[in-house]
Amino acid sequence: MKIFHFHLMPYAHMDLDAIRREGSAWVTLSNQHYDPIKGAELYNEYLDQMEFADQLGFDGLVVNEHHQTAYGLMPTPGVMAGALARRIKNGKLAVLGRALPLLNNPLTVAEEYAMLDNITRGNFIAGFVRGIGAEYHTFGTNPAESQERFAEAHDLIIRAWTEPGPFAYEGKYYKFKYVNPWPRPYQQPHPPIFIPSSGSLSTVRWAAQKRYTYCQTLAPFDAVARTFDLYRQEAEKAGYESSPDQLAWSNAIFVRETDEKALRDVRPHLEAYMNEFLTRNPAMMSPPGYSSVESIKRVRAIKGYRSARQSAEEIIERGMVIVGSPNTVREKLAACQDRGRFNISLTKTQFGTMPHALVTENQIAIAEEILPYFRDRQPQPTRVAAE
Amino acid sequence: MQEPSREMVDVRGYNLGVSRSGKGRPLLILGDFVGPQTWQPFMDTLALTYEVILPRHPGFGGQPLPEWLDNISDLANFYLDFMDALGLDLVKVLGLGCGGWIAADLATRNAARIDSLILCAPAGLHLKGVPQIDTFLLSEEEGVLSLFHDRAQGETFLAGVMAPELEDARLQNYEVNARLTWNPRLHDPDLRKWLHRIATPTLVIWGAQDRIFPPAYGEEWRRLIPEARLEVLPDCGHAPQLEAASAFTHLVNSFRSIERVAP
Repeated sequence: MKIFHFHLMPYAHMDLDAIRREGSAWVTLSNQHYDPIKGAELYNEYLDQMEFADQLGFDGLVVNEHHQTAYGLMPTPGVMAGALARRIKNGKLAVLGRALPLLNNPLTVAEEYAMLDNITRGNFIAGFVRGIGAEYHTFGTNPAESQERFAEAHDLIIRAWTEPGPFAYEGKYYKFKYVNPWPRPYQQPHPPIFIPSSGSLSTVRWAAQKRYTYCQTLAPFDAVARTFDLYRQEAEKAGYESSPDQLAWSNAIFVRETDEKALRDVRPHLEAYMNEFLTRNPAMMSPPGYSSVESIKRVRAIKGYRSARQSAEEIIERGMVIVGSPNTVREKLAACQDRGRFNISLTKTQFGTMPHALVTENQIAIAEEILPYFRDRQPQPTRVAAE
Repeated sequence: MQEPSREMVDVRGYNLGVSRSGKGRPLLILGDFVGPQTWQPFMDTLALTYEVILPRHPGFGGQPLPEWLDNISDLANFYLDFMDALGLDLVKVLGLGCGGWIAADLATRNAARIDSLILCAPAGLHLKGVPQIDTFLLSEEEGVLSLFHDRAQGETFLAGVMAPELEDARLQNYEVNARLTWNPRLHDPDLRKWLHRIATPTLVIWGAQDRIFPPAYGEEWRRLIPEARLEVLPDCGHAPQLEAASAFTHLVNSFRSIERVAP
């Protein structure tokens, strides 16, 4: 399994009471809660953590994209990727953003990613996303056009990377007389493409058809495993057998000497991450047209989903994160790998309010106790599958 | 009260559901995008005086989304075709909310078939610095309630429209509504440039407590349309036809084409 080091870069100094009071950590939470002096320290600590992860032997560094929220401070992930591109010595560099429909000109992504691919001499992984519902409020992009814009922008970028320029592009949303981006990607025909999603059927199907690596975002592991099954089925329908290398699970790992110590130390940071930093109302997350009528009804039917405050125990129990002693974490992650049959873990070592010193200890523990065990590990047949 | 008749009208290849009731001069109602687009009691009152014609907007209420539907002007042109298809002449046009936006856009293009125009809290303009509720940040329920000044009336109304069997149509309507109004939010920056072309006598009706489009918007519409009169109804939100139905229908009934605004 490849274990990538994934960061959200939350505003860890956030006054959690203010989120509770204002009822949102997204869109409407005032940026007056952001202190640039503290924020500058955070950015540098977070970049240090990323560089340290590369030195420790993680298989790659992953940045992502969110807008106008305390949940993550990377509205322009290319800035962070640029800061890391010349520092990274061992692993891959992945941007698991860019929200294509939010951009007026998706050709900028073709250019930006090609630059990163050249600077890293072909160690770059390109992510394409639609952006989450809240971002259609912050950007003003019409959510009812989200799917069509994504499809068209993706088509434009792939063509820009693979067809000799200049050529004209005439889409419904994007029209260019000259498509001819310099530089061209270092990797041929283009960098590997990762598609993060919360698991909508249409995205899973599309990623499987395109043979893109599908990345399941934060979810209970039961749902993750079901979505990975769906990907394999869709691959079969498309006429091929998918490989575990095409599936990535986004998680968080926290390792201490014992399970008890791990739970005690992780509690405030994990609970802040899963409760306060994810505070947002359903209308904000599900603007009209962003999801199909069927999937809106499916979410509505799951009563109480994310409505109640979750304790650290519940979050761990549902398999959204892995917390414990080295033994516990190894066993649980191995069980997940076998059940989900995936070969990529996108792992956060920092989340919520977790301070730098604790992150460093966690990173070292993961590097010493977890990474070596999984380096050459493939999904094993589970008992059920073997019978 | 007689049930409205339902028919399908072929408008250049698009089959549109149309409800009709009453006898008299034709009154074309272009409904709002939020709330129900079905027949409402105030229409029965109007049907005592007029032949009320209520089309279901293309793409709404379970009808297929037409390939040509991208913006409000597409609907304005579509309803010009619709009037041609029905052979309507000297029709009174009543537009509610976003339907008022369609009606005004339509009237700037071609008012030859229009006898008079009534715009009730129309969307379509933007005024800087006037606070407006962002209904897209509200839940479905709160969105319906935000139409009303009196919450109790809103809750009574809500109970009728939130029926589970209507959920699919509601969600579909909400999506098409976003497609047409998300950005620019509920307005067309080009519309105000051409409202002076509306020579038809126009009545603008507004609720004094409208929080979606506060009454300052009513003043702006009156200012921009040469032959417009503004009536502001007290104790009323964004949907006077629902919240102040008798005052509303009285205004509609008593507004005649011969009535000219003093120069």
